[in-house]
Amino acid sequence: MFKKKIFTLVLTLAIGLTIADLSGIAVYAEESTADTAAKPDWYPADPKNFTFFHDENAPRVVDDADIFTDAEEIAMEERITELRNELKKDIVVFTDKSSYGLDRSVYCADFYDFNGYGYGSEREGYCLFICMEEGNRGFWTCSTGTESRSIHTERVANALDDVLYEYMKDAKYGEGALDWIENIGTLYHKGSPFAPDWYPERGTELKLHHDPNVLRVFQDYDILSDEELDELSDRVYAISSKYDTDILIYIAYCPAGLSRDEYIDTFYKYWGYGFGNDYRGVVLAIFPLEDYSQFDVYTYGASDEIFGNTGYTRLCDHLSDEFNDAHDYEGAVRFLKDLEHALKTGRVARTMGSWGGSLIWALVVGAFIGWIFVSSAASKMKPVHPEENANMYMLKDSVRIDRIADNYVGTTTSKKYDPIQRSSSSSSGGSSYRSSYSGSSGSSHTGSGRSF
Amino acid sequence: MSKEQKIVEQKCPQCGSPMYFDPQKKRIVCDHCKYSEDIFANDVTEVGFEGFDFKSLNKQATDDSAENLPIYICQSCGAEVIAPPEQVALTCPYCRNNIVLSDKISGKMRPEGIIPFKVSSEELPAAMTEYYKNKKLLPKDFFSASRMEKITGVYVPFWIFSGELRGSLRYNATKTNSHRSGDYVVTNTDHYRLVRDVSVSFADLPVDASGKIDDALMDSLEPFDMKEEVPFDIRYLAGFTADRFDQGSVEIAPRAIKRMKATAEKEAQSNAVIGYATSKQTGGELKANVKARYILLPVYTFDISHRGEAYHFAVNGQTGKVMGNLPIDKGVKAAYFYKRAGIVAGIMMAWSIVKYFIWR
Repeated sequence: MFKKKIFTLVLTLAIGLTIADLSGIAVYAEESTADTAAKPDWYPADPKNFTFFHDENAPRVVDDADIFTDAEEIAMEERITELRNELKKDIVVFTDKSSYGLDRSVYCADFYDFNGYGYGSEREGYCLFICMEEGNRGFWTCSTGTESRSIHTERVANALDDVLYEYMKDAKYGEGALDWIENIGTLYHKGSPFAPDWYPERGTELKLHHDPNVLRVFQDYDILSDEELDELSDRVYAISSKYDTDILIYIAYCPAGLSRDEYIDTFYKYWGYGFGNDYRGVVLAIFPLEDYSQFDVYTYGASDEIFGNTGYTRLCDHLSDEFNDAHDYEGAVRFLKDLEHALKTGRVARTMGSWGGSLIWALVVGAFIGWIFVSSAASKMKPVHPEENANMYMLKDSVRIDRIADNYVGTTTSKKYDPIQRSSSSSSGGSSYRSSYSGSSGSSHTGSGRSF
Repeated sequence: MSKEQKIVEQKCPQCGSPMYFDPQKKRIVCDHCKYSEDIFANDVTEVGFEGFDFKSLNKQATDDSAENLPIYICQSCGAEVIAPPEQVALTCPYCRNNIVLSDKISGKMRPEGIIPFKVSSEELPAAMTEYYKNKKLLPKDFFSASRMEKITGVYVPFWIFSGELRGSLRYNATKTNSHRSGDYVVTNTDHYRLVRDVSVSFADLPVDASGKIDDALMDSLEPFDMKEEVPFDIRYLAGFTADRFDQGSVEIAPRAIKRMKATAEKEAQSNAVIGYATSKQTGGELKANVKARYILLPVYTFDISHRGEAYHFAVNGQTGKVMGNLPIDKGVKAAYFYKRAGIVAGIMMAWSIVKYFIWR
């Protein structure tokens, strides 16, 4: 019996150790595969100690996955060359059938780092990598260098990915890459990949001027009908003339990469809005979203004094009622009404509903206070009551309390979910944005991408 | 034929007129010749010190047959005066002679002490005026001096309880501590059972011993300043009505002990569980070791009739404190409410308008 037990124990130990060994071998094998998997020829033996270089003549379109046509490759190379000459920044498009076990973001960065791309000491430039590996199909955009990375914001990255994804999912790889190149060029020129043609170059100093002929009611979207546009325009002109203040109503699309304030300010100055030497004017900018619209009100010159803090808040409250339901025309009408009243009287009018609400609130509070007074007075009318205690008759120093026992019984534990607020970066539809990451060489990049 | 009882009548030694105790002068005075003497000037010879059978008195009190009611012969005018069993002092309705029924307050029935009247009946209208001065919801025509009816100065019998409550009380108590673990707040609650020995002493808790007087009204007249208590002397009763107890100390004691317990438990709750976040008394008992003494306390009672209803009032004959429930006039109440509500609403709307014009 005893021998049988010993035998069973030894057998169990042996089996267990064997399994552990085999697992170790499998892990070792997997790691070895990763470590010694064949890398492309351009991959250095010692990535960590690689010396960067610049190769002006290296091809900027490398289609190892063979997904572009010859014509597309030529068009891409030509356009990239033009942009490189204009911007002195590098733009690279690279496709491959595999990422060789590396994450797409790292492989993209490595291709850029180890093949002589990038201008200047910081090797400024952008690289698009399209991976056609089965089970790992996707694209990644990485940027290198301070200037390139500074304009590669999350909003810009998401917008670029959204557009590129539409091409990739339909297998329009060449078209998508060409469009991407154009967008990167625009991004470098204007700070947004989708900035309109009129938008000036980054860093351009705009000179204020006045153009009486530019439209005062303008829309990037087809939201207002022609009749509504005309009606609003007529009202705008009437109020502007009467009060010598320029007015602009603009249903705007703000390109990714530009802040709204920056975009509207540039629009106002570029197109020549504003009256007088101080180019005074008021702008209502409407930004339509899916189910509602957002809005901003801007003032220039002496028009800064039209709305006080209270008036501005009241104006926004009035406009929110309309724009929260995406009633853009009604919101614009409301804006003009309040603006005219403010120009006339110096304050934004309160609505009848607002006054009614104040009255109701005053009556409610008054009734409540009145009830408190009445209750207090009524309680004094019926003071006769039996005494419930003998506080008045207790001898003050006679209280004696002795601790006899404090017996611990047990502990109960409760948990309450109270998540810590963390800053989250939203990414659109599955994009992964990394504001900073390292390639195999250790150099820093910014990037984003998506699977398709 | 009813049994004749023993009485004491205070007569002026100069003119023979009835004398009464004057609360202002604190002396026995003669209304006729203005003779007055200190209450302790002469010993009063109390006629008869017969013991009193409480049980038979109670039986007598509940027997509504007229021939069983005690009858007294007024020494001044010879009139027959009927007094309820509990009444020990009265005024002859015919000649206004002050009569003290000494045998009802002798022996075991004799009070140990008395707090004499300090407030005279002439001061009552002013006291009443002061009482209803800030009562905003009173009908405008409610009070006038002439409407105070049946003003009676009566010495009300009280049992005065003193003693100690002692015992053991049990509590369930908790201590808590919290800490954060990731996105969760974890709270640990330690539970304890506590045992505390408690003792609290009380002195001079008064409880009225007359079944015919409203207990709540008497409670509301508290406090009486027991330092002004003097040894009982029947001459203090002259000019006032007096009742003796018809509820014994044993019968009354639970009311007193209940009040003492409430105070003792509250005191224990606040002091016995220091250091614990929450506590709740779960059991235990406080036993009372109290003694009672029987004294008479001064109270004025009167009624005010208004719109067909009688409102009962009492005044602490020592401190002048007035107590009684007052009627609420619906019209006055509504006007009071609307005025205040209107003022508040008006101020708020005015502020809204001012804000609109001042703050852009």
